Amino acid sequence: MIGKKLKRSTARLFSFGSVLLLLGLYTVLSERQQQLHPGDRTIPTWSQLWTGLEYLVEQPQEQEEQAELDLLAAALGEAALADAEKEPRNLLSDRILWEASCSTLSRLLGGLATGLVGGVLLGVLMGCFLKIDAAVSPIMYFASRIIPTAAMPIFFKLAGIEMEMYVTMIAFGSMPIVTLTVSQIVQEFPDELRYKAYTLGASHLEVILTSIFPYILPKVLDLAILMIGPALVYLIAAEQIVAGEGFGYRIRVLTKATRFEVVYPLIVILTLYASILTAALRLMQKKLCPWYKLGGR
Amino acid sequence: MAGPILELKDLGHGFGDHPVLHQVNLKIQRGEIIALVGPSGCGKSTLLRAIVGTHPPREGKVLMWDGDRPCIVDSPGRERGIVYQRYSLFPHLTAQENVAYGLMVDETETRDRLFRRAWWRNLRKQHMEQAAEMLERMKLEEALHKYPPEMSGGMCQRVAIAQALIMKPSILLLDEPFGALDEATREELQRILLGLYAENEKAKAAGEEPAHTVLIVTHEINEAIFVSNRLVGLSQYWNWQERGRSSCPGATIVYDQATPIFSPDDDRDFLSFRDQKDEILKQVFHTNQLQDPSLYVQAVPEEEETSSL
Repeated sequence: MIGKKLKRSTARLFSFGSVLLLLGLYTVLSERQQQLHPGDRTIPTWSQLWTGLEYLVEQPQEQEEQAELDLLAAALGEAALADAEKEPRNLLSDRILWEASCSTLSRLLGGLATGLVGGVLLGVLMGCFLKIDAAVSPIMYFASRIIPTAAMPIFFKLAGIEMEMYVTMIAFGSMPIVTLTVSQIVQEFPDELRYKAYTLGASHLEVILTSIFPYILPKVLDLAILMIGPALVYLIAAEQIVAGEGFGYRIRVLTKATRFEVVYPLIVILTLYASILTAALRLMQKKLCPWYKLGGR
Repeated sequence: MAGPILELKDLGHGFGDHPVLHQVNLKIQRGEIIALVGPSGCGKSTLLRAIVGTHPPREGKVLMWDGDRPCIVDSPGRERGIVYQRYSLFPHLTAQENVAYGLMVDETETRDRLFRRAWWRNLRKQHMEQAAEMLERMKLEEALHKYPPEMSGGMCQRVAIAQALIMKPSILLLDEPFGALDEATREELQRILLGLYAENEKAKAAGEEPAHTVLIVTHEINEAIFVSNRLVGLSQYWNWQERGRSSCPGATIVYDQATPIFSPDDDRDFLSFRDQKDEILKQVFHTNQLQDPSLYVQAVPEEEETSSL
């Protein structure tokens, strides 16, 4: 029957089953690839993937560093290698994973936080004061249609290629959507509750801070979770073009060097970070807004 | 001791070209429990919004008395408490926090709550105790820490009444507050209103000012007669043709009569006021009964001079 509820145990069985099936298919596929092209790393075996993971978390040996530089020379050309040798630690840090994680996550969190805070503030103002909404929403609507990765050269020009550029780009990419959505959520705040707050003695500021903001907070956290994906897209694209560190940079360099046994773990770890961030925001929502899941929407 | 608390003077309202209310005149005395009934779409809620101050009238005035001085109502204020049928509570607050909300926003400011933490903690404790007492009075002691989605409709409405009453408003406005509830819960809440009237009578007997003035909008006539001491009928079915109008200029008051008084412990015998119910149905709800509103409008005594406002 359509929509028939599942027992928890049945649902788990199906979930685990699908994951196991996927892993099994990958195993078969990678083994077959090895039989056809021994040593190929485009679909690495589990042991190759483990080696790749070790490469990410352990300090590369001297000969590996040389091999890495050779690969980079092949991938980027001699000019890039010359630059890399001037500051070799930018390309070959002691712990690639640690360095890439610090760079990418700080950029992601900085950009996402800036976009969300700016978007929520502006969205609340637009939702509460419709003259501001009338003035700002056409601009925000237009800005929300601009593809940040397409406008990347403008960001390079305006904000350089350091941390500020990534934060600006992610904030620019997320803020218009956050602003318009928050404005819409605020306008959906029931009139009756607004009037009631006034009859209980609340000022305009009190209505915003004690009635509207707590009401929209869980929806803002839902929005933050939704924005993680686009923010990562903008960030990884920018890192692949201009960064000297971070996941995007590593993935690009290692892909050119056909080191897929390292690229895949990098992608999985990046996905794990996004999942951890999502789980943290869900936990925050559960702790700060216990009423939300009870049906008080 | 009891004097006027709210007056509507020649109040008119409409939306675009569509008139809704026309020359509504009503004076409410302190301590009265007034029921407002009328056909669907006659403008009962619009009238209530004009009194709340969220939709000021196009014509006429809403006057509130603060002691002997009347003042014009043009925005919501804490002297007019309101309970709605829907969205009666803040979903992000527990029952106790909902009731304490008014005390918080009325007695403190954001900066005090942020920067005078110790002072605010003490005051908050007092507010929460007051809220708990009020909820106990409404027989809701077991629901103190429940969120609105965890409570039944009847419990939510009782919390909403407690939320409004704790602020001691000059007048409590109820906009079809029991409309979505089952009959048993409706009766329970109707008896709470009768309890408020009984408190008023006790206060009057002791020479004190009655504490509760209530205006309840309802579409249920039995309920209106049972809970109130006065019933007002608002209707668009009146003899506007005789006033030289080619179309209805809006609803106006066509019925204003006292109702029998019940105590909270009395049986709810609807048959005992069947004649009055039939009369209301005939005068307020029947489209073919064109009433002369001047009979009722002028029945409101002309008292204090307020024309200067």
